[in-house]
Amino acid sequence: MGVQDGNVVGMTKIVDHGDPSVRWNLVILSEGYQSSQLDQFHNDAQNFVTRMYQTAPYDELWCGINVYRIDVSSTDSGAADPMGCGGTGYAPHTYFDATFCGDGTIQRLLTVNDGTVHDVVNAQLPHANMILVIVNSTEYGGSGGSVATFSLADGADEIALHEMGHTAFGFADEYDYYQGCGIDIGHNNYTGGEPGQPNITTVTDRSTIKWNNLIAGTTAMPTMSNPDCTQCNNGPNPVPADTVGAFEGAGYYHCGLYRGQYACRMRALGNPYCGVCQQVIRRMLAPYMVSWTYGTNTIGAGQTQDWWLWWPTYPGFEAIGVQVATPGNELQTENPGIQQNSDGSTTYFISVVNPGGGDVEFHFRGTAL
Amino acid sequence: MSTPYLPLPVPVRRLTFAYEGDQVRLVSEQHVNMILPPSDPPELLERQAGFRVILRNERGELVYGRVLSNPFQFDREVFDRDPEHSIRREPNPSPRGTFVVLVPALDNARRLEFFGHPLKPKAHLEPQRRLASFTLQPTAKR
Repeated sequence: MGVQDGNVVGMTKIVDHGDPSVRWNLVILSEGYQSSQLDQFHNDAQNFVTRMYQTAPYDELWCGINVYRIDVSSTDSGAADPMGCGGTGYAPHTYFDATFCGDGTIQRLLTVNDGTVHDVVNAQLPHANMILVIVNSTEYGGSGGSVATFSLADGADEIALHEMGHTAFGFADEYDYYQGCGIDIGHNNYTGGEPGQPNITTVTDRSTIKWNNLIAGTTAMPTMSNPDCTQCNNGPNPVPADTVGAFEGAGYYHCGLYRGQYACRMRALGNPYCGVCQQVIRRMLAPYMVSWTYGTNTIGAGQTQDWWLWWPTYPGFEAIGVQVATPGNELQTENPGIQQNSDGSTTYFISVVNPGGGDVEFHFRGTAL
Repeated sequence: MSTPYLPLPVPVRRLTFAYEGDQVRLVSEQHVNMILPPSDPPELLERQAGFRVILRNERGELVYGRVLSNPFQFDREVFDRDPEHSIRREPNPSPRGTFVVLVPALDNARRLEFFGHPLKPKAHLEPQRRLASFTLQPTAKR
């Protein structure tokens, strides 16, 4: 079982936007593919890449992303299908020991030996930010965690996109039950502190909620309350589908926790990422986007310099900021601002502060949308 | 507009951990140059609920930290094709696994801590505490 049952054939960069040290790196590995089936894996990996590219907001952030494919062959094809979960009893010899019924009770829980996966990725690409394993089976299944696993069944790639939300971007689940509506005990009212995850909250004040910049002044807060906290909040959406606000029912609780939009991929598969999650993904991937230097200067100890940048459209940049030219020095930025001008252009502002004890050279840079 | 932050690649520790139940051990450490997100604000790290990774200096002061999705799988996410119930959680009777944490290789970082709710099923309303702590070797001496 395990690594005796196959080989790591090699790694190929299938989406190349530059050096892995400056890009966000996704790694896709094969499991349950025999050597003669690796061409099929190449197609399967490319199909996922296409799916991801068509998924907002990855489409607009694509230039910040590299994708690597690691070909791993197995002695046998597919994944184990234990009879204990009603499966066929098929027990193939595969490199990562993929199996349905990964917890011994649930058929669709398709797991792999994540320790072996990390061994391979650490050796091949220690710059990896996210790891996916495609399992060569047409039976529906998948799982999450530090390694997201999914099969070739229709719709199973949604599992990978949902799990990327957890692992890569720290999203909470937005569904308002644990095992199921009407099944759970103790999931009526959330009484804990403010969650650290960026997409759920206890706050309904429009001025202090995490995603306040996305909420229109005309949107009621909370936008949707749960009239019966003993039940899941399954009422119809009271506002247009793309409205961002505060919708009660999230993080496994019927009441007391709010999500930003009625529907989201983190609430149920098959939905787009909501506006809140898309904003977080944009912010987290912005440092990996191509950026340009618009000016270079030196700032003395204790000094503050105000910088601005004009751009002909609105908006033009995901971020502006400074890069210290000499490693080991530190600068701070303050009072970032953005002004939409009447002619449709944008002016960005930022103050650069040198709190240290000597002159520091820096580059003033912008990262494109 | 997001908070201005355009980092250069920095030295990063790629730390691989393995756990079984509530026991966790550091399996390997690699050094690599790459871009890392900035530290989350201290007030978020200290006050809000959820799993956090924290680096401290020799005086115990926070030098870097991030809120992460809890890598300890005391429950598993189960998926279904039923669009009305496409996802649910099920307790994991035998939690074990491997995960990777990326932190900056700061010269003054001496300890790495995991902080959050107790490592057991359905513990998300119990008081948070330090879950594990690891001594880091100074990067300059490596």
